[in-house]
Amino acid sequence: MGHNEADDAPQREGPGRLGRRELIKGAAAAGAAAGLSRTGGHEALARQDSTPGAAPSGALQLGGESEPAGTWLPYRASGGAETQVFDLIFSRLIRFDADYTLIPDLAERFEINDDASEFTFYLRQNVTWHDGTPFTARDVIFTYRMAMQEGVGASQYNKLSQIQGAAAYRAGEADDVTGLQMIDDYTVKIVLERPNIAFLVGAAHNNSLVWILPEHILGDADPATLDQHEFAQNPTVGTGPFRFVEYVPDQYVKTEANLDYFLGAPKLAEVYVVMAAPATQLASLESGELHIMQAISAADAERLADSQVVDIVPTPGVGIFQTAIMNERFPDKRMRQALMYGVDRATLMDVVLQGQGRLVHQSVIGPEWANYDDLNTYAYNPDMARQLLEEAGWDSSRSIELIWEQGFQAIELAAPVFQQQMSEIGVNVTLTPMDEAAFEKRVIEDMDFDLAWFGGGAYGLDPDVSSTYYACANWTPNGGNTTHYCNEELDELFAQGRATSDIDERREIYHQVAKILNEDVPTIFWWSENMIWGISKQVQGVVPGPNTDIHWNIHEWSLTEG
Amino acid sequence: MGQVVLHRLLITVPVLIGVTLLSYILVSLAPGDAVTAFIDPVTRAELGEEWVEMRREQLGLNQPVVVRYFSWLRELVQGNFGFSLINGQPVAGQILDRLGPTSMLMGSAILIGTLVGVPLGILSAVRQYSLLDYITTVGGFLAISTPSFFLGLGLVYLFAVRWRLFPSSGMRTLGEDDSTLDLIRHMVLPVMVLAMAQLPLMMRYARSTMLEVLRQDYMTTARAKGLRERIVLMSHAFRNALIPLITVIGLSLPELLSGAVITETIFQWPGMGTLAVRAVTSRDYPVILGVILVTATMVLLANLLADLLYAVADPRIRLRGRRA
Amino acid sequence: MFSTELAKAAVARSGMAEEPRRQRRFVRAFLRHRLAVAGLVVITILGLAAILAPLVATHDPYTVDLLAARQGPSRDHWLGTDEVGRDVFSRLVYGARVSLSVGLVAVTIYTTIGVVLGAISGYFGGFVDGAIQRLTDTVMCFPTLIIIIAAVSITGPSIWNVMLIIGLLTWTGTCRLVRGQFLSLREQAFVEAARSVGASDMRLIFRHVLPNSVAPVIVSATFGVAAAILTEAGLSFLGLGVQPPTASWGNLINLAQSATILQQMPWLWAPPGVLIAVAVLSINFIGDGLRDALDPRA
Repeated sequence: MGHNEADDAPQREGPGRLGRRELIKGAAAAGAAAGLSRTGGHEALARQDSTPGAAPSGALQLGGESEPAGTWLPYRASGGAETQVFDLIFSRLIRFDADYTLIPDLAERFEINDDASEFTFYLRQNVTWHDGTPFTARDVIFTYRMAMQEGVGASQYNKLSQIQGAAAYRAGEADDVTGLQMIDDYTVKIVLERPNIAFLVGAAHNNSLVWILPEHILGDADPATLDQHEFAQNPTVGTGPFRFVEYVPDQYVKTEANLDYFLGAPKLAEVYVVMAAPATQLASLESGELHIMQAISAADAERLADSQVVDIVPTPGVGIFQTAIMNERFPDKRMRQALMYGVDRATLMDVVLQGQGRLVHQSVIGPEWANYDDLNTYAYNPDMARQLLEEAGWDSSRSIELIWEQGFQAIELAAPVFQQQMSEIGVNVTLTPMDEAAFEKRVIEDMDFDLAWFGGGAYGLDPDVSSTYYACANWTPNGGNTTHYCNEELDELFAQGRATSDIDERREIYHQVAKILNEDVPTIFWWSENMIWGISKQVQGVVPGPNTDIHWNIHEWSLTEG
Repeated sequence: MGQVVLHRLLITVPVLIGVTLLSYILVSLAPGDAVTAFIDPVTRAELGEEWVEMRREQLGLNQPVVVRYFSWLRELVQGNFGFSLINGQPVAGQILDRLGPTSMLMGSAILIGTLVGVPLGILSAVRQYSLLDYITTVGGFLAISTPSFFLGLGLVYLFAVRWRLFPSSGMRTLGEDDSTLDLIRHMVLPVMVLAMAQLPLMMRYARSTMLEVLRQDYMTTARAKGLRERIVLMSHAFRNALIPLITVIGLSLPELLSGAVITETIFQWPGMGTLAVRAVTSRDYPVILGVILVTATMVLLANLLADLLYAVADPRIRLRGRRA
Repeated sequence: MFSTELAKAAVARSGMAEEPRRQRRFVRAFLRHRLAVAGLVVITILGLAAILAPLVATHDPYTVDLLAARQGPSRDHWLGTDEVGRDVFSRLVYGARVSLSVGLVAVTIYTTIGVVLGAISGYFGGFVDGAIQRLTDTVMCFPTLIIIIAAVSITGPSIWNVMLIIGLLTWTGTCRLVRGQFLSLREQAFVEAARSVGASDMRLIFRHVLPNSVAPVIVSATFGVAAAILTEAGLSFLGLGVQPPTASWGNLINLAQSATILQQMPWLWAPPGVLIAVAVLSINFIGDGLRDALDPRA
C-alpha cells in the first residue's frame, strides 16, 4: 500500500523541449481569478498522513449536481450526479487538482513526444481493485477499446476517435486498435492520428474521457446487454477511494471507504451523494445536514456570507454564458457586433451575478496563460450599435426571436433587459422560452433559431476547446458548432495550436484565434460566472479551486463534530 | 349486484388499454426522447447526431409508436412490466418501491384531514354562525389559500433550518440506523403540508352536507318526536351526510396514488409523483406506461368501491334501475 | 282531484313560485349574507382592476430598470421593484388578469360538462347512467399532470392550454357529485308530484331537481376557482405555468422559492400571496352566500 509516491511533476523531461512541466501546468490551469475570494480555512495540507491506527469515521453528504443519467456505466456519463459518483469509486489515468494542474492518478507519470502525437503512461504498480484483483495495463486497454465499440454507444467515443486505428476497429475492420499499445503490464502508449496536445485534457477531465473499468468483470460482457449487466446496476468494483454500496433512486448513492486505496486510506467512513432539488439542498446545507453544495446563487451567497454553519467559496468558472447567433441568418458581422455594443453587459452582469463572475468578449478565456488584454471589450455603446446597424442595412421592421430553455433564472432576468436595450437601438426582439427537449430540437436538430441563449461548456480548460464550437467541420448536427460559423483561417490556427507543446507558441497562436473571434462575434459573449460552493464548517481538508471536481482529494477530507 | 361488479371488472380492460394507448401517443408526440433527455445541448452537439441515432436504435426508439405500444402490451400480458430506458431497472420494482412512501404520506394526510376535519365540520354545522364556525371557516380558507410549495418551504425554514426540530428532507437520516421514530420525524413536515390541503376540504364538505341534512323535514319530525338531540344527529343526520363524504374520500383515493409532486420535490420524498414527472420529462416510456397503468387501475377500483359503498349507505340507490 | 291538489301543493312548497318573485327572493337572501356581499365587492374590485389594468398600474409591467432593482416600497414604486427593476405593483395588477381568468376557464369548462353529464346520468339511470359513468371512469384515469407536461412540451408553455386540459380532465368529480344528488333527490316527493302533474323530463331536470342539487356544485365550483388560482402557482413551481416576463400571481409568489427572496425581499411575494388569499376567501364567501340564497328551505 504505497503512500503518495509522486507529488512532484508527473512527467519526465525529454530531449529537445524544455518546460514540459510548465506546459502541463499551463495547459490545464484555468483563467484569471477575478472577484475570487476564499473564505474560511480550507487550505489543505499537501500530504496528510492519517493518524496511525485511526479508523475512518464520519458520513459526508455531497449535494448531487442533478439527476444521474441512468445506469452506472461511465460510458453513459453526461455530466450529472453520476460523474460525482464515478469520481469517488473509479480512477482515471491522470486527473486535475483544484487549479486544473495535471496530477497523477493511476498513471504515476507520463511522457509526450515532440509533436504531441504519442502519449506514454507509466502506471502505478501497487493498485488493487476493490475485490482484491491487481490493476494492470490490461484494464486500461480494455476500457478504452470497449468505449470504441459501436454497440456500446459510449458518449466518449468522440474524444477517443482521434486514436490511431479507432475508426477501423469500430467499423469491425480490425481486431485491435493500433494506437492503443500495451508496452508491458504497467505501461500504456497511445498514438493519435494527428497531433493534439489537448488529448491530455480529455484524458483527465471528468467530462470527457473514461474512468478505468475492471477487465476481469466486464471483459466478457455483451455490448448489447451492457445496461442490464450487474455491474451497470451496482458498480461495486473500482479503484477509487470509496466503494459503491447502493443507490436508492431519487434519494442518494452510498459509498464506503476503500481502506486499500493507493494514495492512503480515506479518513471518512462513508460518503453519500444526495439527490435533491436546489432549494431543498440549500435548506439542508443551512440546517447542517448537507455538507457540500455547488452552484449556489449569487443572492444566496450574499445572504450566507456571515453564516456560522457554512463557508461560501466562489471559484472561477470555465463556462461561458452566451447567446448563439445563427450566422447563416446574420452573415454580416457588423450586425453581430452591433448586438454586442447595444447591450450594457457590465451592468447586467452586476445585477444578475452580483459580482460573481467576469465579462468575456470571445471564447478563449483560459487557462491563465491564454488571457489577452488587447481585445475589444465592446463597452456599452448604443450609438455605435445604431451606426453599425445602419451600415449593415438592418431593416428595423424585422423582428428576431430569442429562445432559451426555461428555468434558467439568469436568462429569465437578463432576457427582458436585452429585449429592452435592443429595442432602443432599433432591433425588435421577441422572447420565447421553451422546455429542454423543445429547445434542443430547435437548436440542434432543426437548427432553426435566430438567437439561442445558454451557458456552460469548458472553454477555460484549454483554448482548443473553442474549436469544438467554432470549427467549420463541427457544424450541428455533427458537432458543437451551433452558430454555423466558419472561418478557414481560424481552422488553420486551431490545427497549429494542437500540434505543438510549446506554451509560448500556443499562446501566440491562440492570441490570433482570440482576435478573430473577438472581431467576428459569432456569438454574443456575456460572461463567465463563478461557481459558488457552500461548504459546511464541519468539513476539513477541502481545497476548492476552479476545478468543479472538488473532491479530487477527498481521501484527505474529514468531518469534525458539528 | 354481483353481475354489476363483474360487468365493471370486465370493462376495466378496454378502458385501461384506451387510457394507456392515448397517453402514450400524446407523450411520444412531445419532442425529445430518452436518449436526449439527460444531455445538455452543448454535450449533445459534441456527441453528434450519429451517436444519438445509434442509441435510439439500441433502445428501440426508432420504431413507430403503435408498434412500441403493442410490444409493451405483449410483454405486459406475460407479466413483464419492462425495464426503464434510462437506468435499465425493472419498472415493476421501481413502482413498488414508490407506492409505500406515497401511501404513507398521503394516507396520513387524508387520515388527519378526515379525523380532524369531519368532526370540526359537523360541529361547525351544528353551531352555525357561532364563533367556532367563523374561525374554522376562515382558518380553513386561509389554509387552502396558501400554495403548497410556499407552505412547504416556509415550514422547512422554520422547523428545520431555524429551529432544527425536524429534518429538512428525505425519508431517513443518512448514516444512521433505521428506526420508526426516525421515519416519523421525517414525515411530520410533509404530512403537515398535505394535511393542510385535505383538512379544510373535509371540514367544508362535512359542514355543508350536515347543514343540508339538519334542514330536512325528517329531522324536524325526529325532533318533534322528542328524541334526544344527540341520537337524532347520530342516527339520521350523520348517516345521510355520509354519501357526499364517501364521494369525496373516494375521489381522493386516486390522488393518494398519484402523489403530491410539489411536496415530494421539496421534501425529497421518493413517491409516485416524482417518479411520474421524471419519467415524462425523460420520456422513459416503460415507466410512464407502468405508472399510468397502476394509477388508472387504482382509480377504477376506487370508483367501484365507492359505488358499492353508496349502495350500502343509501338503500334507495340500490333499488334504482329502469325508470318506473 | 285531491291528489292533484296535493301535488300542486307539493310543487308549490318546493319553491317553484313564479319567476320574478323567485328572483327577487334570491337577491334578497343573498344580500342578507354579509360576508358574501363583501366577497362580491372585493372580487368586483379585483376584476375591475384587472380589466382596467392600464389605468390602474403605475408603470409598464415589463419595463426593466437596472438602477432601481431590488428596492423596497417607495413613493415611486408602491410595492418596490424586483430583481431587474420592474415595478411590483404594476406586475401585480396585470397579473390579476391572468390569475383571475385562468381559474374561470377551467372551472367553467369542468362545471358545465360535469353538471350536464351528472344530471343526465343521475336522472335517467339505467343504461344511460351506466354509459356515462364508464366514460367518467375513463376520463378519471387519465394522468392529468403527465398530460399537461406532454402538452406543454408540444405546444410550448401556455397557461390557457393547461387550463383547457384541466377543464377537460377534471369534470368527473362534479359529475359524480351531481349524479349522487340526483339519485337521492329523484326519489323525493316533490319530484313524484311534479311528474304526476305532467311535467316533462327536461323541465323536471332543469327547473325542479337541478336547483336543489346545485348547492354542492356551487361549493365545488367555488373551491374550484380558488384551486385553479393555486394550481397556477403550483404549475409555476414546476415550470409549467405562465412564463416570465409575463406576470401572474402564481409566478410572482413563486419567487419565494429562493430563500434569499423569502427572507430579504418580502415585498416581492407577500402582496401576491395576500391577494391570492383575499381572492380565494372572497370567492368562497360568495359561494356560501349563493348556496344559502338558493336553498329553498332556508
